[in-house]
Amino acid sequence: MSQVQIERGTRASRIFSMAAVIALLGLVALPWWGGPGDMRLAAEMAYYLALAMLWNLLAGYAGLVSVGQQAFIGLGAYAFFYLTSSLGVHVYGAMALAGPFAGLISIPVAFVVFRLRGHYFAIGTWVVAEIFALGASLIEELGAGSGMSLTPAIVRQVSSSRDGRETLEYWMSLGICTIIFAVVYIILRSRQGLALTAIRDSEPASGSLGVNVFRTKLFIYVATATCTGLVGSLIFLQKLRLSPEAGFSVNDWTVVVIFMVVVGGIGTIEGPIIGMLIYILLRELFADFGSLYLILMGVIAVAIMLKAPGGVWGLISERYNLHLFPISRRLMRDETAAARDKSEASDK
Amino acid sequence: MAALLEIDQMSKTYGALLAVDALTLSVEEGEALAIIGPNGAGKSTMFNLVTGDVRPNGGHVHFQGSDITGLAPHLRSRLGIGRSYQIPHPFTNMSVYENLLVGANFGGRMAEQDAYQYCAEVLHITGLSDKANVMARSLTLLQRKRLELARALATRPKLLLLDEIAGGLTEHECNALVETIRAIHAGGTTIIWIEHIVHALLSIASRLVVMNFGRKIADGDPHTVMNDAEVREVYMGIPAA
Repeated sequence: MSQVQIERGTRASRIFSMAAVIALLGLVALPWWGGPGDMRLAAEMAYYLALAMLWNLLAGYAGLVSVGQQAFIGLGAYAFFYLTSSLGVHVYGAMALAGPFAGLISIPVAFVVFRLRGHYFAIGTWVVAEIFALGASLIEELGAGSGMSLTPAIVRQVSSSRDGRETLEYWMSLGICTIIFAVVYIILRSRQGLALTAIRDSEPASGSLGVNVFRTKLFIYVATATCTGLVGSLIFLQKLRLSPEAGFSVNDWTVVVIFMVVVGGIGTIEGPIIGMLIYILLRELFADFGSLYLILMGVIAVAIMLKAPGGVWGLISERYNLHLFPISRRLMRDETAAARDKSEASDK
Repeated sequence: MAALLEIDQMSKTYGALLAVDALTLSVEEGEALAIIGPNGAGKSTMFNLVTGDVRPNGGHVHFQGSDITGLAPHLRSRLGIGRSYQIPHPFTNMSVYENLLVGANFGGRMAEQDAYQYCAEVLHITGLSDKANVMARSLTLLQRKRLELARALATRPKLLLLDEIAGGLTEHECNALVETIRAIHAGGTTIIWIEHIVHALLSIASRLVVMNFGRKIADGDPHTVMNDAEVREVYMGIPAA
């Protein structure tokens, strides 16, 4: 019997991936064609996109609607500050350790919060994050309530000049965002992704078809916590100051990210990109209006949830049948099978 | 020869309700066992006990001679127990073909390339070939029922549990589905089939079990069982003479 043909890309996706590579090269070159303000904004967009991708993997695919991802931002950031300031670890070494540290802590956390279902899980993750914030504000070695700052000596490890530092930190954001994007995409295209998409649609059916639901979810939870911890260390390397409220902020690291994913399109790869762009655009346009701007964001989120649960990308992709980052496996009809079917049909 | 499946004194209660009451049942390899009984007789609960979707309050279940009472559902699937759900649970945002790939990759423990090939064959057997790349959410009821069957088959089950897979289908659709199931059984798969459509069941079953109030009230040759006085009373409402 001949081998079946599987198609995993589309013409649009091949054209788009080339365009994406060109755009990425353009962004790498940003230090030569943009100012420091552009770089700061682009760095922020990069780490927000990374966080949105991670939350989408967690909530949109594994069905783990966590409102406590700020726990891992804070853990990663505190690990980074403690390692550099108190233990004298080099900046890059500390960043490399911050992610795995957050991942390690996420394992016992998972065994607690995985006992909770649905909205109880969401509340549970938030409570855990608050416990970490309170813990950080009690520990003297971590600066207690007032937090910690990176000393100029530590900051100079990145680069001795301010310009050099801003350029390198921008490239780090872009690099980490690209790597996290690639990791999420590779996971979703793999067998593991098949299991994840199945779990998203029906947990009991996944189990009855041999998918280890618990282990798959645990893997995703720990993997996203690790990456979130890394992003946390990167964010606070740029901010230079860390306090319990800033590091474990539910608004900055989770609510904003949920807004991006929900508005863009949960459970799709393209959604977080669109959502991040919409969020940044709205913020740049309306941030001067103060609280009115927050009301506007809320109205937009509610309207999207009611009118287009698939988000902006859901509308576009349904209308034009467009998949820029396809994860599907299409069965192509091979010639021998077609001929066999035909001969069977004529036999009848 | 040891039985393929042995249910030994299994019970399941939901609060005060005794859904399955010390049920004992054994199924030989290659059998096609039909189960009938009124609504609430504990038929689906019995399936859930075998697949591990529900934990028993007492008793044991053995598969191929080993005790699987404490195993998680995904491990039972990998051992060779496949099932269809009474209410189809398709993976709505995946294509029909991808729905099958989940079963073959995980329950069937196949390498990815082998799974591609095998699932294409299962689509052919179950009459879903032309729906391969269609999203499961857009399927009709009959197609969803076929998908339940195809997806379970993709795990290469030794024992296939069918829960009212013909329910809600037209006469014609039902006959077509019966022919598919007959072919699967002829291929060597042991089948336990719960259904209310008795004539469909009896065209395949070699043995018939009747359940009521969580208990087995009859077990044996289909025609003998159907003429049993208690069965006629419970199931068809014909008072015993």
